Amino acid sequence: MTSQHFLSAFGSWLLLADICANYLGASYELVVALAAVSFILYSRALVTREVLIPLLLIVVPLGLLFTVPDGLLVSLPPAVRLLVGNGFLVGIFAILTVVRAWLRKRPEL
Amino acid sequence: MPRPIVLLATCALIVFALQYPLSTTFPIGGDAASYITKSQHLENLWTSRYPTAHLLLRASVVLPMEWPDRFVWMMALGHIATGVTLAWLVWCFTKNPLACAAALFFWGLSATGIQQHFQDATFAQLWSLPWFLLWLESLYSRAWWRSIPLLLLTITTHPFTGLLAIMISILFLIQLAGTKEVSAADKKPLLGMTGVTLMLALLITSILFLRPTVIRDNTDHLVIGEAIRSTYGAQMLLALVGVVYTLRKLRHDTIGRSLIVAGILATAWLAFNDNFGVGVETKRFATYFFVGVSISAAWATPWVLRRALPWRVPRFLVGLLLASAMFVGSWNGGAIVYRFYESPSRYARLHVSEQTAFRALADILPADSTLVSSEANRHGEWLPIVTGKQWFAIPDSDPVWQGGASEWKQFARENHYTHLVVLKHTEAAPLPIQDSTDLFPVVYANTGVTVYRLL
Repeated sequence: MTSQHFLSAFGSWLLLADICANYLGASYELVVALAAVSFILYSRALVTREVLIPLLLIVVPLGLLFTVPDGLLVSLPPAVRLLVGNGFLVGIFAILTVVRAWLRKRPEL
Repeated sequence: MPRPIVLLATCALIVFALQYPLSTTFPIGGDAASYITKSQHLENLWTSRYPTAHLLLRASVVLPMEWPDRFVWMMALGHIATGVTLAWLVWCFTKNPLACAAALFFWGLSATGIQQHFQDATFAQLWSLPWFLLWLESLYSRAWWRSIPLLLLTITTHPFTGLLAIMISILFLIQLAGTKEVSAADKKPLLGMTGVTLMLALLITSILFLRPTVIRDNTDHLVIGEAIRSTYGAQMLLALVGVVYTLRKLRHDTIGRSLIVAGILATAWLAFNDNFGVGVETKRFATYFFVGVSISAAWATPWVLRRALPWRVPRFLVGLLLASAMFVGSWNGGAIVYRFYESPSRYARLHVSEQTAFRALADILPADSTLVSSEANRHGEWLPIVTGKQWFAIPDSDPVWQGGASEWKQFARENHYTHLVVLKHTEAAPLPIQDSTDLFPVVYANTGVTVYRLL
């Protein structure tokens, strides 16, 4: 990847992050950080498309749902909010692991 | 491992830790008195949230000093113990003395500002970190059975660190379940570990549902931008490189890689949970994120220095220059924090006049005295520790504060309260008591404290 490609791709990710933050109500810092980390990991081939595609399809929409002000969790007590959040993370991670293992068994996909 | 660079970094860590007890005259932070009171008597230990922490503080009676001083020195020792175990974990991953030295140094830099253990007197959380780091090391070393007592020690020293450990355990085990790279010898102990983790997760979940007040709504918001602009900024930037570098290096080590992924996810999630609409205790959870940042930055340091400066002498000189600049910055930052708490005009901790008064009361008052003070000033919490007498706080809502001299006399008789301690920096004695010195004689007074005899 040349530096020009790198910069243009990174710029696109930042633009996406900006759209998420400004129009979807997500925390700007969080989205920028996630976008930067995902991009760097992807560009270094540390995260393959088997992980990245389900991540974008499942985690990002659900993550945004959680970050929108007055979202699902606001009315719950703090301890329950934390438990729901922990369960969310573990659940998503388990789904990703299963999807990744399934995709690896089917290289034709 | 004991190379000169490691010894030098250990000295830097010790200097940063000792800056606290040597620059302050009394514990800072609101919880110190509460920890000492519980550790002195070890009552209701099994209903405490931090039983192992109370036992650790109790063990400090071997230090030949008073309880407030012991607390301060134990906090400094906790910071050093965390730095040393952190360096040990980095050594186990990298076998690189420079990475190990960087871990010691980076943790030392975080004594004030970015971590607020000294300022907030969060003894239990600080002392839970060495157990937690040793637990991570036991997982990486495949010492599965050793990991179980370390996990229990982590949970019983501080439940938040325990919660993080459980989260890491679950994410770690999920990854191992999805791979065929686990050896047959590891499968049986891993099954046992899965059972223990699930039981502990169930236990913590039940406790959180039954006692939801143990988790509080968020009061602080961790801002990455601010952390990058702080003296910890270099570590934040190095950390990302460290994660990428180590994940690549460990691409054939399933256990190490899974542990790192689980650690990153769990610490980042808890530290930034307010960004996901959860919004609980991010200030406390941020500590674990910065522990992770210190580890990752230490991993990156030798690699970045070697890449940027291939020649040994310039590398040494530039490294020394950078480390010196960071050292001076953090030392000055710490000095500002300690001067703030020591300043008589700030009233941020027990004032010198109050310390003098409390120590005098220990000698003046009879052994069976029962002291009372207003609930408004938390400095009163030091009365039982420094005087050795029984002490109660009268709530601000108690009608006796609006009562006359006779109401005060009756109130004291009914509850067997012998003395009222008034901390004059924030409050004045009730007027009926001030005006009736024949009924309530002053037994001690200085510029900060007046003590009235009630019975």
